[in-house]
Amino acid sequence: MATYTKYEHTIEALLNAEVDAFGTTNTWKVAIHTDAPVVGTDDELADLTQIAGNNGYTTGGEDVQNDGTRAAGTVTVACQDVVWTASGGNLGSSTTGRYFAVHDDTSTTDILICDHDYGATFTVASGETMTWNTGASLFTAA
Amino acid sequence: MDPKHMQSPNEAFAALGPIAKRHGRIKKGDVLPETQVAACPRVRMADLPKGWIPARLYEKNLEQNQLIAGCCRHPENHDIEARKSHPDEPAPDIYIFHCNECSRKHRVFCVGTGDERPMWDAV
Repeated sequence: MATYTKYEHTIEALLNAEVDAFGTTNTWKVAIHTDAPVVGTDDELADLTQIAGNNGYTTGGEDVQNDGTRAAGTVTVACQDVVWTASGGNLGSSTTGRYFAVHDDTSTTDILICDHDYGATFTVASGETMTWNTGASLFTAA
Repeated sequence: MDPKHMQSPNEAFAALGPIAKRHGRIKKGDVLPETQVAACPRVRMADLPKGWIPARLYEKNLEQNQLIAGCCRHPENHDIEARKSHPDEPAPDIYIFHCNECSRKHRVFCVGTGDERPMWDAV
């Protein structure tokens, strides 16, 4: 799996009820950005530089259909795949997309949850796709 | 202080997560070096055993995707390669489908846990 990068503010936001990871109450989204996350100071989606909102990419990202469930003392947050299809040009008019940030879109300031590094910049040309796939779960908390 | 909880400053910083561990202290605007590496060579999907590539890697994004070209919706005719976002990754987390008719690429970035990651050598 791509290594999970946790934003330092996230645990505070969770315990302060600013974000909701349980059930499906809050909507989380995944956004594509070009700048490396600075986990100590990046707190909100606005702190990141997304690719442009065009050619198949919507600013703010896409709904991941997050669902947090509990078994015994562990909460598992599962998400659905997100598929971006570029149309009319490069996705987001970009050749420098690299990072994927999950944020709580329901929270007042789109609080950041986690980030994943693709390891290289990518260009999704017209007719091509980029899929963000979480497998069985995005993360577990205990 | 319990000795086993004592960390060097570098160890404590690295414990903040993979960005810190792999790249050290960064400030806003720093461009990180690219770390992606090849994992499994590009091969024809048809040359791999049936079911070797899990359907979840191509069902929604290719077979069921009406926004892409007709040729791209048939992954059985594609080539596939696997890559790692970083050499430290234990298994591939990037799969790239290459349509042999139109040369378009379809990337899958696997970020979660609990899923199977197929691997292969040259076929």
